[in-house]
Amino acid sequence: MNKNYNEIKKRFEAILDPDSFLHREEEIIAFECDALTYYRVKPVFVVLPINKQQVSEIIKVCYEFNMPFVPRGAGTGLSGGALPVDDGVLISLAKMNQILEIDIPNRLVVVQPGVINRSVSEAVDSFGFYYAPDPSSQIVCTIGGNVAENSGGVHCLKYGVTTNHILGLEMVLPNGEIIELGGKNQEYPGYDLLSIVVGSEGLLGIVTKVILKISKKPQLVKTLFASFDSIEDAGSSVSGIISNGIIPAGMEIMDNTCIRAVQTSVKAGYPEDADSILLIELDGPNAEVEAQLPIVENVLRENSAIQIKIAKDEAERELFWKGRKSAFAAMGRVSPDYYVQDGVIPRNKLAEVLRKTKQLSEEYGLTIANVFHAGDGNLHPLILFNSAVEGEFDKVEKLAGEILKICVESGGSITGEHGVGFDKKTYIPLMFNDHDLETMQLISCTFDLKGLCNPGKLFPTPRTCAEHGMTKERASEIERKIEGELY
Amino acid sequence: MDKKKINIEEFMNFISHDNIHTQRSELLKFQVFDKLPSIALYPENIEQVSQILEYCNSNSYSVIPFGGCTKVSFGNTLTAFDVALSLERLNNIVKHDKEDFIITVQAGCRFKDVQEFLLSKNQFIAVDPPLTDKGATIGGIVATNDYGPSRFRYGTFREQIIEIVAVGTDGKIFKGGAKVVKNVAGYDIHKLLVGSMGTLGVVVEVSIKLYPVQEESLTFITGISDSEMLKSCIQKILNADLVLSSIEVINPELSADIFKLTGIRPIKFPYTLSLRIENVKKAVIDQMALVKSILNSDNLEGAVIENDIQVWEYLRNFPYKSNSNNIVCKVSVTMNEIPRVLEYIQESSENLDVKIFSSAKAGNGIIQLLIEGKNKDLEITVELLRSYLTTIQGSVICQHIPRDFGKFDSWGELGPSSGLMKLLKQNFDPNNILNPGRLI
Repeated sequence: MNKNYNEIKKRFEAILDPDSFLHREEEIIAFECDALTYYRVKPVFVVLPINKQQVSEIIKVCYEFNMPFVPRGAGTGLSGGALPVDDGVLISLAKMNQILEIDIPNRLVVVQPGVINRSVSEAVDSFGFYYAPDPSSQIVCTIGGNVAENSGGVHCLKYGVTTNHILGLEMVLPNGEIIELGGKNQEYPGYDLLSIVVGSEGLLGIVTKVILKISKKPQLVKTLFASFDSIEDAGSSVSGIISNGIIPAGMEIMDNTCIRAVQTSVKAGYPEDADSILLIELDGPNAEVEAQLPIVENVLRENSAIQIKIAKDEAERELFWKGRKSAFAAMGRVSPDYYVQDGVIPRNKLAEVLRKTKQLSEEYGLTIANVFHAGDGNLHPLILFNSAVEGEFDKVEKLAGEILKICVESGGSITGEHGVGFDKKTYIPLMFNDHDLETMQLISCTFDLKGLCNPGKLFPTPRTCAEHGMTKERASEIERKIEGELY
Repeated sequence: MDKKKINIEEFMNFISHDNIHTQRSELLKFQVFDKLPSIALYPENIEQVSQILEYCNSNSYSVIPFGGCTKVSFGNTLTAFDVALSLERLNNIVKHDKEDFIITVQAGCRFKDVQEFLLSKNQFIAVDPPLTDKGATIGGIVATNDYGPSRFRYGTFREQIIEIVAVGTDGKIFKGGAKVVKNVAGYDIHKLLVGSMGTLGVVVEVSIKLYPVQEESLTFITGISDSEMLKSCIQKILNADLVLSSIEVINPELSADIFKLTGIRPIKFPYTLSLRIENVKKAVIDQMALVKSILNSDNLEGAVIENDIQVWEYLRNFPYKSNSNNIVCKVSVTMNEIPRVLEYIQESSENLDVKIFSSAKAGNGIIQLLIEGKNKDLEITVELLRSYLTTIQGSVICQHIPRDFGKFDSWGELGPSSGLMKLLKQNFDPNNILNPGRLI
């Protein structure tokens, strides 16, 4: 045990109520992983601060004793972003879960990071508004986690991801200082640091308050699906719709393996014999949706759709979406385990990439179910396996890596919404060369000179700020210089 | 340590003689306030930009990147200026992926050329910045985060750019983002570079999302008599089931120009509300009917403008239309404060010897201003506005000030994260060679 742990423990006990400070093994075990459960690490301590001052004081202690720390929201992340470090503190923001302000005229809501995504929409529903980013985990995931991962969802084709819906935030820097970025206005002079912090995977500090943009609920929503004999036809329908000047709220494709799994669990009304289905949602003013619907139907027919089914009411619409949103969980019906990746490809490379993944699936002898955000080319291949079979997970990881390579080779990205985290950090060099990563490290060093905040994530190898163009002397010189202004 | 005198021979090691200018007459277009460079370089490829920066950095020569030279008076006075780095010969369309709605262009491409190329393919870039007729380049628009009235619907380049390749001060070529519409890998360096005023790196290549051209566009214009009414109208319009491209509130000085342009019978109201809807034809017509019925319920009459392109061209370019001594500035407040701030500007301008043209993005909380007058009066106006805005957590930045304006801070307070911004600048540019003093 680090000789300082006792001292740190004493300091934490002075900051936190007993029920906000967990240090016994049986208490800590629940925090040893996020939704990427194949990796587990027990932290030294788990703390659950209730306000920004506590977060700041905890981090000041960490800074003083060089103890790493990892922030955590609801732990629904799929890339291991909230995986603890074994010599560090896990900081759960779960208790900071208040909606602080609803400002309808300015179309914004101010929340603490532990507020659940869906609660924001619920809070403003009666005013006719909602919070647009809607990850599948929205009934449990938190805004703080969404900010860290720049979460997307099924409607981000039209409405964008988290970064497009954040006006400002308050955060505690890795030295304990509390700062604000952005605010209630849409523009502030100076660098757009807000853009960097959103999606920084918890490496730059801990967010303690978020100002969210809310959006007006659409007047009309039309949801439909079309079934196809080939996934290529579903793919060309997607391009066809966009080329016609229509950007639907969402476009999702599911392959036959997925359709069958979903049908056994939720009975969403999908045709089980279809090779694939394309689920489309149009929303907007009546006039717009009504004008777009026939165009969409035309495109689908031109691309050999077998069946087109438009949800006749809200209940059926919800059912169509329930099928899509429960696709991951439904895999439990057909396989003991699954592993999901979220690589992105240019939309016109869909058929080619799917052919290659199918080939890989056969080579590895592992079934891959495909469900994805087709409108933005964000794949979610679900590799089915059995973790009880020795060595199978290693095989799965290797296959997943090959898929990511294909995505990048096709001109895409290794992650569209789940983040790099711990899971994909060894793959990030597929996309970014040393210069790119060194530039990103300049940002890490700007915020976190000691490298204490969520270490071991995002970057393939840990580096110190002294290693990329900045000498230790230079780093501490900057630190001294800036300290005068910051503290 | 004294800087070594600039030696043209050394630059010729990596850039041909034709791409180096040193004559005063050639350097004048790069004048930034009181400063002229010693040399202007016109690299033809990214590698040359890299070599230039590496060389300049190691000799501590300050470098100012230029695109179309349309916004040279945006930002604070430079603390040093040795090398003008023109990107105008880096002007290739690298790739247009029509099916995937993405274009990759070099930074020196003129926005207008790229947009015309895309329009011929029935696609477009969804930002509408000013000065594109004067040669504004993609790189310059990115560096200044410039935009126009369609910001309400589409945002700025921050929302539209998916990847940027840039050259760091040490000559290293780096990128942020990826050429796909959705991507969360790594920090969003491409977003950080938008609006960074060429102080963190030289943007050399940009990938942008595209949109299909809309079938129809109509504009509705109406006069409103007081700020309370304006406030309630804006909220009603924003709450209605409409997809607006733009919602602008124009002051009488500017609306006079619009009336002249469109032939609409002039109406003298303190506020002219202008709404644009673009969509498939039927959707535009139906939504226009809704706009009319909402405004009619408040006894507001108005006119529909068909062929509205020139109206919006005018509104996006108006800040730079003046031939008189002027400043151009931009106010940012919460959107609900817009009517109050407009009222304040109107009232205070009556006591000042200035002429103000303004258009407010009512759905974004942003007011674009063109203020004509003598330097002394211009300065008083900005200072008054600034002190008023601090009471409502607003800000004002100046995008153009006269060359002889003297020492003046175009940015105002950089706010509670200014320490972090300075540290970021130091980390990206330890020798402070890129646009020194312009922003940080």
